[in-house]
Parts: sequence; structure tokens; C-alpha cells
Amino acid sequence: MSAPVLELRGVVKEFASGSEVLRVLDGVDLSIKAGETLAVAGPSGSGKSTLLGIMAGLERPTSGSVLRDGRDAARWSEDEAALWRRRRLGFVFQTFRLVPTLSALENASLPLELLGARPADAEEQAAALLGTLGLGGRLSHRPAQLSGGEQQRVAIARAYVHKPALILADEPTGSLDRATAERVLAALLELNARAGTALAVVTHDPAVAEALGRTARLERGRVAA
Amino acid sequence: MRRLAWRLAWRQWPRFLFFAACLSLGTGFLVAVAHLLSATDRAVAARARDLLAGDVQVSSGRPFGAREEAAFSSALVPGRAATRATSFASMLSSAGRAPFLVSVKAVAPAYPLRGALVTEPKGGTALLGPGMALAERAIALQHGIKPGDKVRLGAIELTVAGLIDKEPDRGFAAFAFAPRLMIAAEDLPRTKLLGLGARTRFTWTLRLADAEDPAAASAALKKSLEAALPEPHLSIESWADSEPTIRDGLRRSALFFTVLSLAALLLGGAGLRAGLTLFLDAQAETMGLLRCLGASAAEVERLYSALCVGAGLLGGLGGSLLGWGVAALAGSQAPRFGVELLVRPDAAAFLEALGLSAALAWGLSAARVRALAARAPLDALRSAPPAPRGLLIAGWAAAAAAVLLAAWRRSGSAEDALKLSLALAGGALVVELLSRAALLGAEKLASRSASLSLPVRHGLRRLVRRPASSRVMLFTLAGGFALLAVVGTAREGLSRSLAPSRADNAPDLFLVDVQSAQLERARALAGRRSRGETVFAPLVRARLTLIDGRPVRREGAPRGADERERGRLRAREYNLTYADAPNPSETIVAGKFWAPGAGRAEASVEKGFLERAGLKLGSRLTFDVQGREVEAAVTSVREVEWAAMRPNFFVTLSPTCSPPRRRPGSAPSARAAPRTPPPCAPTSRALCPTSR
Repeated sequence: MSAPVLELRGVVKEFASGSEVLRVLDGVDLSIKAGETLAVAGPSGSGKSTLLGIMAGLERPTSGSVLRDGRDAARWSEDEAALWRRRRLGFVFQTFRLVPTLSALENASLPLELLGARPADAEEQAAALLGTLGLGGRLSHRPAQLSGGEQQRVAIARAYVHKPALILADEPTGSLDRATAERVLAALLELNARAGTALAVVTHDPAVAEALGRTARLERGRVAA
Repeated sequence: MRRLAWRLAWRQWPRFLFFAACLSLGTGFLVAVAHLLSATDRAVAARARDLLAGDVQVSSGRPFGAREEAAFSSALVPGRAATRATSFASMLSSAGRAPFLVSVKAVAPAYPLRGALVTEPKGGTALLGPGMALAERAIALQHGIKPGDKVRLGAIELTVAGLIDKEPDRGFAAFAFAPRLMIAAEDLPRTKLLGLGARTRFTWTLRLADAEDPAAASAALKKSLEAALPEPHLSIESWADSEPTIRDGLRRSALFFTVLSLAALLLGGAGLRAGLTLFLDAQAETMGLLRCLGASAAEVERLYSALCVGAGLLGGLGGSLLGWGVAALAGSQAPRFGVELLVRPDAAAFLEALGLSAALAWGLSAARVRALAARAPLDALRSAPPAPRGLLIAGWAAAAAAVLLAAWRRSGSAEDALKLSLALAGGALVVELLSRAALLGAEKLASRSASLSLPVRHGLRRLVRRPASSRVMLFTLAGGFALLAVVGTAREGLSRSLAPSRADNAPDLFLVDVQSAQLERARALAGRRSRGETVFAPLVRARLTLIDGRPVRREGAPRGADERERGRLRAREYNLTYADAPNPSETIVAGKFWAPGAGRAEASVEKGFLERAGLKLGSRLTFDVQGREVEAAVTSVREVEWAAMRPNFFVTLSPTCSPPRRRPGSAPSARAAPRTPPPCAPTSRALCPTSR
């Protein structure tokens, strides 16, 4: 049996607010393996986004440990965490987060370029992926020239283009209408099934959670049983 | 990352073009000044020997004696050539025209030994002969005299044989006391103008043999002549001496334009900073995204630093091209003003522009780039404000160092560059503090928003919530107004100094070399023609022989331009005057001017001269005034408004020092510069009425 791509053990995250200390995550245990899909659900303010930041190595837990590819990442430097993200992680944001001055193709090939791939190879792979997602005719379009659904599909292509081990998606359908959301979710799952990537989706949409293999419900900073 | 940087810049080219344009104006100005200065340097070097019309020259206010003649004979070895000239000012008259002032030069056929005397018709001094004269073209233009006309100079009548278009040793610029009239040396005695007290300059000029090394041979000859002829009334120059003086003058002019260009560059820098700050803030989300995708903070910082420096380099490149274009255009127009300037591309100036622009762009953006790049990625995506992460001082220091170096290169003086940089930094600091104060005021006003209208409330809150951008915009705005004020003041000052004749009370009639016997008649003439009382300033020629009892020596081997200038000023021949009070264009800035009738021997010295000659209040100066020793202590320092065109002097002595009347030939001549009433056309005008 393969080791989890990511494992959280007793993760606590506290924020200081004036003289008070706000505990957002209170001993979270969570793991995700390759090919697995996980929904992180919970009401607003339950700490979903903070959990996502810790899973991605963008924030450090106050206590507890985070294991990435079986290695304890608690003492990783920012550069080590950045390198792990570059190689092993794909990100999908609620509000797409595309670079507005780059075309769909350039946005999608960005992770490969950060990995030092030859520009032509990067664009070839990105173009193929965008074609799979139905955006073959929109390669040179800027984000402002694309619909919300198209932008999110470009973001999905960007997340998968470098064949990461884990995709983290933060409310990927939150900014889309129902029909578009369904198409985007279908694309995400189809790519995930094809690539065998671990997928963790932060959502408060039950329909999205149901479409994923497992759900971790976050309540008052803990994963409910 | 390089590809990404290129894409980010290319897709936002109008923005980057604006950044570049901010810097291009200032750097372009600097590059143009550098090119023109280089071209002028080359022109001066090329014309250095022409400027003396020979290689070595000895000149004096007295006729040469046996000792000088012996020295000249021994210097004139085979292969060398020598000639003589005699110069003085006099009035020229012709039938039906009012007499006017000319600068007469009597030359031998060999003149000039270097350079060419360009005349129309062609021929130069070959056109001269007994009873013939060459007139500067200005005489033809101002007084309608043409070749073939008869003119009277002193006791003889001359025929104008041609017009002078270019005289090699007339000086680099086109300014002269009076237009030139050139006559044959053999006609000089017949003019009967060289009487006792006439202000005449006698020169002996030598040309080296073709085989001799110009620099070494002229220096050696000058040294041997100085050893053989130690008399202080003699001035001994080689062609190399004429260069530094002219170059110093040009550098002083260049410094003014450098100040303006640096101020323009700083304003452009402020605009650049404003633009870059807004650009970087707008890029904060992209930076956060790149961090999420796995770029390290250092990589993001390098990416955006490269973009900012790239904008700077683009500005430097644009400025280089702009400056080169302006300089080339100016060079092409220079011949119209009598100056030949060959403007060649100057790699050092281009590199300086690029370096300066890049340093400014990096220095003004470094702190912001680091703060944004180092921000936690999620904070960036949430648009949380970045915390300072250093580089602020390093950035400003880099920008200030770049400006300081540029000023230093232009001025050639670390002190001037430091003063200029401190002044600019001080100005920037004041503007920055005012901007911060304005924002604090806006914050306080916004807190009382209930009484304000909606647009004002929103405007104030927007200013307050984006303090960095607001400060930059306020800084740019205030800096722009400050620069406009500075340029306006400088323009006004330049106008005043370059166009003194616009002043209502500027003199327009100049009476020079008025001899004692002519004084009463000249006074009567001035009384009839001038608006108010005309003061005649007595004038005697003198040389400084001792300072505080120590002999004044020729400069020998000066160390640097300042020492050369000090030596030159001390050893030169002066026009001195005697007065009971300073004239209206003079202000006492140190010490006290003597009271009328005071019995002590005192001297009042012009401030700039005092500083450059290395004198001070209390210095005891001993002058050789026409063979008589006069000692006086410096008791006051004057600032002189030279542009007022009054008879002004570097050194004014108390009347106690004036020569006794009984000594033959010692009576001073006099000069005056009254203003005539409007209906009265001046009989003569001159551009340079001052005596130094």
C-alpha cells in the first residue's frame, strides 16, 4: 500500500488577535493518498482555507506535524516548501487566479516553465491539456476574454499540466453557475481519474462533496468523525 | 523566469514605456550635455594652437626692451618663425558716420603663424599694405562700411581692403570688446595713437619648427623665457595654457545644465517611483500566485527587480538616443554661431545614462519589490498590506549614489557634487515630509467625515487607505511644482545675467581710456548725453608683486586647475581703480569699506577673485603700479554685479594709494559707462565693459 501524499497529525493553528488567541484548527488529523479524492467540507469560518494553506505549505501549523511524501515538513524552509509545491502540487482557486496579461496557453504552461521546461515543450503539453478541456480554440485568449467556466478550466489545466501528486482546490465551483459548475467538476474528476492524482477539494457545496470519494467535515477546528 | 519577465513586460508595454519616458528626459539631457562638452573639448584641443595664432607668446603692456629682444633672438632658432602684433582700442571715423570704437591690431605679414585669417575677398594679411585696413564683418553690418571705403584712424586715412570673417586668436566665443580693425604694422607709427599712457598690448609670437614636439618644445621654451624674463609685467603663454581656461568656462556652463538635467531626472525618478509602486501593487496578486505555484520569494523578487531595472535600462537607452539626437542637432547648428562642433557617439556617456537609470529604477523600487515578494502568498491573494522587509535605505542609497556620481563626473568636483546631491536630497526630504503631513491631515479630516460631502469623504478615504501610493503621488506632484519653480527662478536669473541691456538703467555709452587732458571734455560730453551724473573711474595698470611680503611667482608646475587659476590670477596684469565709495553695482559682504578721506592704504577685493586667488581679509598686497610700489591691506570684500555693465574692478584701492600727479606718465586714464536718455542714440556699444 502506497504512503499518503500528504498527512496531517494533530495540527493546531492559532492566530493572535490583540490579547486573545484564536484557535482555528484544533488537532486535525487527515491524510490523502495518490488517486484518492477528498472533500474538506464545513461551514464558513470553520478553518477550511487555513487547513488548505497548511496542506499546501503556505502556512505553518502552530503545532502538530505535516508529512509530505512521507517526510516531516515541519522544519522545511520556505524555499523547500516552494520547491515541493512546484514539483508535487497543483492549485485550483475559487476565483481562478489567472495572470491577466498572459494568454490561456501561457497561464496553463506556467508551472512547467517554473520547473525549467523548454518553452516549446511546455506550451505543447499545455495546449494538449487545454484541448482535452475543450479550450483548443481559446489558447491565445486572455482571461478577460474568457467566461468564468473557461477561466476555471484554464486554471485546472494549469494545476494538472506538470503532473503533480496532489491537487488542492479551494471552492473550485464557488464562482460558477450550477451548469458550469457541473461541467468544471466533471473535468476536474475526469483529469484526476486519468492522472491518478490525489485531489483535495475544499467546498461547502454538498453536491461537490458527494461527487468525491471521501469527505472530511471540519467543525470548530476539528475533523468530525 | 526570463521568458515570464519578458511576457509580463511586453504585454504591458505602454506602462513600461511610461516608466522609460520618466527617465529618458533627464538622462537625455545629461547625455546631450556630455556629448556637447566632449565635442567642445575636442574643438578646443584642435584649435588650441590657433587660439594663440602660434605656439608661444610673450605679451606686455609696455614696449619690449633690449632684454626681451635678446631673449626673442635666442629663441628664434632655424626652423622657427616669429611675428609681432600691437593691439589697442581707438575710435574709427568715416565720412558721414559717427565715430565708433574699434579694437585695432597692427600685424606683420607673417601673421598668423597658426590658424588662418579668413577674409572676403580671400587673401588675409596679403590684402594689407601701407594705407590698407581689414575690418571685422561686424563693422560692415553695424556701420555700413564696405571694402573700398575710406576710414580715419588717428592721424591717417585707410582704405578698407576686405572684411574679416574669422581671426584665429580672437577667442573661442563670439564676444569681443569692440570689432576688429587690422592694419599693417608699418602704418602704426603714422596713426600717432601710441602716445604716453595709451593702453597698448605688445605681443611677440613664435611658431615652433615642424619637427619639434608641440607640447614638449613649447613647454621648454616657455620655461626658458620665464627664466630669462622674470619681470612681472610680462605675460608668457604657450598654446597649452589657453585650453584649461576655456574648458573651465565651458564646464561651468555645463554644470548649470547638469543641475537642471539632474533635477529633471529626479522628477522623472519620482514619476517612475509613483508608476512602479502602482504597477507593483497591481502585480501583488500575480506575485502571490507565483509563490503558490512554487516560486520562491527570492525568485519573485528577482523577477520583478529585473522588470524594474529593465524599465530603467529602457529609459537610459531612450535617454541616450534622445541626448545623442539633441547633441547632433546642436552640433549641426553650431557653425551658424561660429563654432565648429564634431559630435561623436560617446560610449561613456551612454553607459553612464544606462547605469544611472538602472540604479534609479532599482533604488526606487527595491524596498517595495522585496516587501511584496516576501509577503505570505495567502496574504497576497487576500490583498493584505505588505510589511516592510528592508532594502529601503539600500535602495535610496543606490539612487543617491548614482546621482552623486553623475554630478561628480560632470562637475569634476566632489565638493560641488556633494553640495548638489545634498541640496536635492534635502529638497526631496522636505517634499516627502510635506506629503506625509498632508496625508496625516487628510486622515484627521476623514475622521470627521460626518460634515463632509460623499465625494470628499470617498476621496479622502482613498488617499488614507493607500498611503504608499498617495505619498508617491503627492511627492511627484510637489516635486513637479518645485522643479517648475526652480526652472523659473533659474530662467529669470539667466535672463538677468545674459540680457543686462534689458535693465532700464543699464549703460549704453562707454567712455574708455579717457586721458587726464581729455577728462573735462569727456565729463562735459557725458553730462550733456547721460540721464544722471556720470562717475569717471580712474584706471591704472598694475601687477601684484608681493602678498604678505612674499613674492608672487609665475605658476611653474601647478597641481590642478585651482592652483593654475590661482597662479594665473596672481601673476596677471590688473586694472586698478581708486575710489572713496563702492559704486551702486557693488555690495560689501565682508570687512568695511574705508570712509571718504581716510588716510590709510586699503584695498577692497571682489569676492570671487579673493577666493580664486587665495587671498583673505587682512592680506597685504603690494602692487607694481607703473614702476611705483603700492602696498595696501585688504579691508573689505565686495560682491560685484558684473552684468550691471558699470566700470567694475577686481581690486579697488583707497585714494591714498593713487599716484602723485607730478610723475610723468603716471596719471591714470579713466572710464565711465553712463545711460543716455532714450532719444539719444549711443555713439558706441560694447558687450564687455568691465575691467578685470
